[in-house]
Amino acid sequence: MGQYAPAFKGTPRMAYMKKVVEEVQVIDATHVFIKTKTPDPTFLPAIGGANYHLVWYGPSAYLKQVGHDGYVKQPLGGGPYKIKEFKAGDRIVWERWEDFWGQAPYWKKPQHRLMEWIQVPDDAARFAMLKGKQVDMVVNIPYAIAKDLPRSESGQRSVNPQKGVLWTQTMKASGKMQITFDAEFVIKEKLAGWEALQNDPTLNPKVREALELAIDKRAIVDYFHYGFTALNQSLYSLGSFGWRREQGEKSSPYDPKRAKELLREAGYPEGFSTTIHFGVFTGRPGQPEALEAIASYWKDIGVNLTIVQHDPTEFYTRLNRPDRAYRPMTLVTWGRQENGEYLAEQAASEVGTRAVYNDRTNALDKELSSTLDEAQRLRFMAEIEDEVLRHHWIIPLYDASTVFGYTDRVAAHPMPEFGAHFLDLQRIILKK
Amino acid sequence: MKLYIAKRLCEGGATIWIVTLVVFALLRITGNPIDFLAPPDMPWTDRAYLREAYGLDKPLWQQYVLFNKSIITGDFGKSLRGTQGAALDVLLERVPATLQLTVAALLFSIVAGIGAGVVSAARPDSIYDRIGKVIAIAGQSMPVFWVGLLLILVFTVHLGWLPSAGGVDRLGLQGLIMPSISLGWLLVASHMRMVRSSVLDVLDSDYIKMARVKGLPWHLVLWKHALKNAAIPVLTLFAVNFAHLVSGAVITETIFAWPGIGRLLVESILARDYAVVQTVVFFAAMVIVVVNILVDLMYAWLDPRIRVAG
Repeated sequence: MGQYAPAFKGTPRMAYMKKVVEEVQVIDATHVFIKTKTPDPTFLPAIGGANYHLVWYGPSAYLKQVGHDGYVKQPLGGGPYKIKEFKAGDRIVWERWEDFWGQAPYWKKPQHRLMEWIQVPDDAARFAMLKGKQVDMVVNIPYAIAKDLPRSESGQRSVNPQKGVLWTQTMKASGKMQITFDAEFVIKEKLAGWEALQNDPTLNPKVREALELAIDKRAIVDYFHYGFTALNQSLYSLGSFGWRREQGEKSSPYDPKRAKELLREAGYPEGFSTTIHFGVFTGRPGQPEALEAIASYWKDIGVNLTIVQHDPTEFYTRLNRPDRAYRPMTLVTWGRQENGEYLAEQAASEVGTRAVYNDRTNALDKELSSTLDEAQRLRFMAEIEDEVLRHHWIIPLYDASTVFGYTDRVAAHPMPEFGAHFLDLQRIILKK
Repeated sequence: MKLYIAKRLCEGGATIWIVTLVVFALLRITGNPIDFLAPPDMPWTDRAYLREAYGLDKPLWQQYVLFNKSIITGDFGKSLRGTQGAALDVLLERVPATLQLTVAALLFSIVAGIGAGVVSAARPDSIYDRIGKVIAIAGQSMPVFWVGLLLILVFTVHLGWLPSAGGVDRLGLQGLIMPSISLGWLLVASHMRMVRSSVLDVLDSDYIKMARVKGLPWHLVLWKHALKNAAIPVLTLFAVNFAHLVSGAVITETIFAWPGIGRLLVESILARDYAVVQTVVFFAAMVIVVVNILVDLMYAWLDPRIRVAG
């Protein structure tokens, strides 16, 4: 017990921890006290949200015994399960830990003694395993396949609707989808190649507004995504801290006539050609379909869109500062954040990565990051959102969902309605 | 013969060196893996530390010299992903699964290819010949991923006879059936054509005619005498195809979630895991070069004319 200065090894995501954490005090066997260098209202959301893979909780004696490298090879901290077998890139077999301490309402011993996770990269092969009952559950079924399966949401969510041998459950808002305009940022920051963007049409706010009006977002959600995704006019994840119902559920006008007028006013009566970049993010199906739909809508107002797909690893790395390689537009996804403050910072501050900033958003972001009062924080987040959307720097499209498939052997899988990843596998209830 | 062996070994060594040089260069053109691993707000001091830890701060020529040194000592560096173990260990973990799949696929293609080829040669232009050709050409025409998915649809989804994903460790030998057919069918055509052509040539020989005249049963003439002598060029084709299969049945491994080196290579490329990519490519190049050298040596041993010409 006692306190120690954190000795973070130079692994990639430790930069944040080193920046904000001064020390960690161990209070007792189940409590730690983390002292930050300055008041930081984003600390808990950050380690529980965007950076939640950062922190491993486990016995220090074991860590000291095996060292960092040894801990990576044989980690602890699987909750009610321990690792029985691990083959990197292939599968993990978990075995129920009979001495698990948790008798809290949420954490209790799982029903199943063994749980196996298998990595199956191909969508069709994964679904075939489910249909062939080789597995009880599959994560991420493409919408086009899932649409024909009974949904638990038709009855009691998370419970087998008993309408066939397979059923699904949708975890909503696993990630945000939005179009970001980067030309203004690139010019502001004088990034390499900024001169070529000086006459870009997307610099004009009327053009950006026109592009948004020309998209029928409801149709994308209902027809291209078969109702699995959710319209969300907010910068923040559906139902998260900072999300306002009056903004998120605002009706999204689809007005191609007004869009054409705006283009005329902006000096583009015949339209123009432009490019959008994206990289398919695992667990967020429907991106190519959405972009094809958008290309079609924009064509109706004279805007010819070239869609460029990138390797996802490369895309999400080069998307961010200082490179900003993809211009003038990107279709960006951001994993669900239970606290939208992180997204507010990304959208509209000089340290952000998703949109443009101005003096007002910078000032708001600075206030936000040093305010612990919840009501104040909500107010700042709302003002940042209003400012970003007023300038049309971002077009919020929809919140993606992840569809989970089950065989009829699974009676229920209680899981929160919103989430970034699969959750609570230990709570799966199998039929006896 | 010794001179021939020495010459082939030198050529093989040069080939492997060129392959490693090309892969080394191509990987570094795609970007620094630290930039992919690091979050956007990572201080440059930390990036510099990571670059140094993985030897990426050195000039390219120096990185290449170190890479060549490491090959000689057997230390191929550490994987950047997962348990961050030695790249060679990561590869060796996957090799058995690939060998299982490759051997099974090759066996299937040999049995099917030889069977169809011999029958076709014995009855040229007959209905058997035509059926054999259709089956073989179908294997060459249908993409591997489509064959795989079709097999899964029929035998896993509809009939429920066979499992579709995972390796032998998990599924047992039945897990090998569909992936090996999916992968091996592509080779059935080339094996069948080679066997057919070889056997037809041999069947025209005087000693075969003598055997027939002497009254030997047709099946003995065909399977014992003709096939044996037709086997030399066919064996070399089998060996070469084996080497190509080992180097990466990527699509088959992806469809069937087979934990082999093909899938490992793709995942490592996407993650810019330099050490593992270089190790896998080096290993694949080695297998292909060594097998080709062995095939050439075998050929030279069987046929002295090649030794003299070489």
